[in-house]
Amino acid sequence: MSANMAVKQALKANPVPSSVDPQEVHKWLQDFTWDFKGKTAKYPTKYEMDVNTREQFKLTAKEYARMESIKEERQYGTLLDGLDRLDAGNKVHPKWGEVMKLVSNFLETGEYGAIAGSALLWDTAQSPEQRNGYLAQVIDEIRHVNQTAYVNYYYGKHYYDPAGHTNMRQLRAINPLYPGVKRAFGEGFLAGDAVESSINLQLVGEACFTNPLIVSLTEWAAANGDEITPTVFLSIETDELRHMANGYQTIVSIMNNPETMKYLQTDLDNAFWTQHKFLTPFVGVALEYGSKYKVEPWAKSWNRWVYEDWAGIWLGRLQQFGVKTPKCLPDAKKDAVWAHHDLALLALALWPLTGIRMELPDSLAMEWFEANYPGWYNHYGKIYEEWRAAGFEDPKSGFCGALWLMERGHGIFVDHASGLPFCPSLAKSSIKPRFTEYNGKRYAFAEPYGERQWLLEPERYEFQNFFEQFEGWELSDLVKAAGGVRSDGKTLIAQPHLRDTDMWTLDDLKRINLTIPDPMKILNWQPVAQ
Amino acid sequence: MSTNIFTRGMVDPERQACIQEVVPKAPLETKRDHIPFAKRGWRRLTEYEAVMLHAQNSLDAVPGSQEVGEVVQKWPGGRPNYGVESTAALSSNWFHFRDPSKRWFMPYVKQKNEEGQTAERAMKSWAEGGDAEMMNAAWREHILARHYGAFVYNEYGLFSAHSTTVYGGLSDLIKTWIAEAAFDKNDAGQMIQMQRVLLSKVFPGFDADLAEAKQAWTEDKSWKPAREFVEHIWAETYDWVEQLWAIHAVYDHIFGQFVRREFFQRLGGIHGDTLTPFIQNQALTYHLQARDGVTALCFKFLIEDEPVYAQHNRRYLRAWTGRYLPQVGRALKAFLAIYKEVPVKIDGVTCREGVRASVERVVDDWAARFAEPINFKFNRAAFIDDVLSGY
Ligand SMILES: [Fe+2]
Ligand SMILES: [Fe+2]
Repeated sequence: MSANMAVKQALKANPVPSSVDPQEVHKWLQDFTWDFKGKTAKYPTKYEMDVNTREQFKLTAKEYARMESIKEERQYGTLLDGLDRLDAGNKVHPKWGEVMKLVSNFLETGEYGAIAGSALLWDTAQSPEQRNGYLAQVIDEIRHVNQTAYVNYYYGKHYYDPAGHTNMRQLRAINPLYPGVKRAFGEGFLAGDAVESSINLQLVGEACFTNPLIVSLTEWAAANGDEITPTVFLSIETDELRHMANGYQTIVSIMNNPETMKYLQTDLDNAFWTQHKFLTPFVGVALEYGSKYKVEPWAKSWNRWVYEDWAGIWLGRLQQFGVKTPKCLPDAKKDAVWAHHDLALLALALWPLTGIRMELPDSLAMEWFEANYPGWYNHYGKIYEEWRAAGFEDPKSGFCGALWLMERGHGIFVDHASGLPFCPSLAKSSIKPRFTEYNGKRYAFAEPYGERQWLLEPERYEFQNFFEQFEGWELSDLVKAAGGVRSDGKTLIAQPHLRDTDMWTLDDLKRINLTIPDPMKILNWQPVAQ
Repeated sequence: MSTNIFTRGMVDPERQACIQEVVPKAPLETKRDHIPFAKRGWRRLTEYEAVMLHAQNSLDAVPGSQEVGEVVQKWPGGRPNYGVESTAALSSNWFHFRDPSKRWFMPYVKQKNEEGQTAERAMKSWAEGGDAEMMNAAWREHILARHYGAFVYNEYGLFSAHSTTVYGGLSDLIKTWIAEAAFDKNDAGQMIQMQRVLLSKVFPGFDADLAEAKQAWTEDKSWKPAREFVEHIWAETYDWVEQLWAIHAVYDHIFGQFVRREFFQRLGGIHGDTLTPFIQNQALTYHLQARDGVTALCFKFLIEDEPVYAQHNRRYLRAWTGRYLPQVGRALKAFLAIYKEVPVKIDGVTCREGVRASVERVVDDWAARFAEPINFKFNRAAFIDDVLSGY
């Protein structure tokens, strides 16, 4: 080890004249640009990005390719050689193998959004070193799309239920959770000011949530028999340090102009809330409801990584630029305890639209939930027991959780800021619902942080939500139209249990007799006293 | 970092036994075709398609998208991401594009890594094996120091022009191809500088500093029209298909091919310079891949396979060609002045007839490949004569 170092140092002092170190090329990058009339970004920013900002990782294209191809070789070698031989696809617990249909595909959407987000920064940044760094991220994010996709692809080839792994890119179109990913990743990373995108993508999405996401996800995966996911995601993580550095350099590049720096806190607060609103509940549902074998409760991991590590240490580094902790952090912290349980309730209520097989928590799971989230049983556990007794799993029952909720006055609404469904009368997370009318249209908001984003720029969030899009569709017709039926032409891909018997068909779904309503029209659309 | 000790379910016998109890006896589904909804004809999708095609989440306003309705968050003012208004070209299904090189990330970096290693070995043997000493000093001190360095800016500017084309590209496989072509351009610029750094190590009098090269690029008459093209396409052209067409199918296939192949590669040879031809050979390979990609995009995808808008697209390609060809002609014409500065003159190569043959080679190949398929008419003789008047 030390001899190696000595050789390295000697080479540095007296470089062999017949070779060129990538660093020796990189140090000229800042000279690669020139000034000319009309030279501006096509996507200008309200901030000012300094042309002299440096970049920390200093990779050339060839050096990048060298490093990455080693990682690729390792990763695909493990998958195609090692794991194939171990029949890894058939060693995964079905609960987990199913939830990965969603997780991998939804994260793919994030990686895809990051391609365009990094391209936006590459356009807007003026410093050649920064552009070079953002370009590397564009290519990295293509890698990550390929990798997350490869998880579904690999499962599709080797796992005992390929349906859903093979076609989630189609099924997700009717998934009421999917607009949540679109808001946070599919658009939050790229549809807006480049610096705002950088804050969403790099400063929050990557610096804050990559660690809890990837570390937790890979541990929970391995605990449930899945070695495919860790192989891929730990390899993805090796690129993330560079992306976090890109995010940090974005801030460094704008700090010289106090005129524009005043936007930073607002953008950071909004970005944190936007990313948190999707990531916190979604990851929690995936880990805790998509697993048989439990690891560390999500609320605990979240607290360590997001609250202590990111908000404490990482943002601490930005204090010198006047950046403060987002005001919504205490509410986010509360959400980390309950938001995923709220979302799980709705995901189970809407199971036919998710495209995966799910089951209600069994008695062991219930015990674990109650032990780690005291009060869980009285709030959610009792509902699940009632659902089970009413025939939740039974294809002949005609039971559907969504109808059960609505019949009891528990409306399901779509939060117009995050795009995710919420149930105001049953939520335990930090919601504070607001229902409002604007230009003749009714809107629901789960809490004021999101509502404020909309109030300031309503034209940015003009979309039809899930209920508005599909109002009037009969449930089985909708599932069929989105490709949610297996190759026998009748059995559903999604199921409310994990057995290979009593599987639901289109006819069973029809028996529910559910036509998608718009709750803003049929329920008292202001169910909470104002 | 987590201090949790947890059991790995795949290898823990007890846990695996429990898992196998709930694994169904037979697969629940026999069809394993990936993204079956995207299949056209009988052919299975390739790995290249499986890992990227339809990854893009986009609304049905982008033809071919799987989703209905709208994006949730838009730009200030209400413009959506992935909007079809980003180009005048029209497609019935933006997801039908395929890069003929089928490069997804893994083969892409693998190939580039091999090229990097080959370049490293070539540079080493060039520096140590005696090739270096064969190089004509005036060629090195004037042409390589100044004009070859100026070409860094050409590559960097074209690379920069690609940022918004990646952003604007309307499907996943289109974005992938563009990003890779852009990365190649960035690489090409860096490789020139890498070569210049090596020259500075082998020849103490050679300065790797780019000041003189930048001065040539920004002030020399011989680079001016080329620079103006690059600046325009980088900062002022907003249509991403127009940009890609103008860069790869017009400018780079005429001016770029000439500078890399007919000038630096060919003349390097007669100046005892074996290194420049090698480095430029990689850049030529990148251009050929970009050429094939832009052919696939603009001809195969937007015309041949396009059932509705082929005629519309052809008209635009013709108009764009008409818009950029004169500037590319001016760029080449101005560049030919460099022959006056070439230290070694050889009949049949650097003389007017030799240069004419080079120009004709490039222009004729371009015409056959890019002008004829869209019925773009231009006066070949007048174009070539005009270019040669710069000699
Ligand atoms: Fe990524
Ligand atoms: Fe990333």
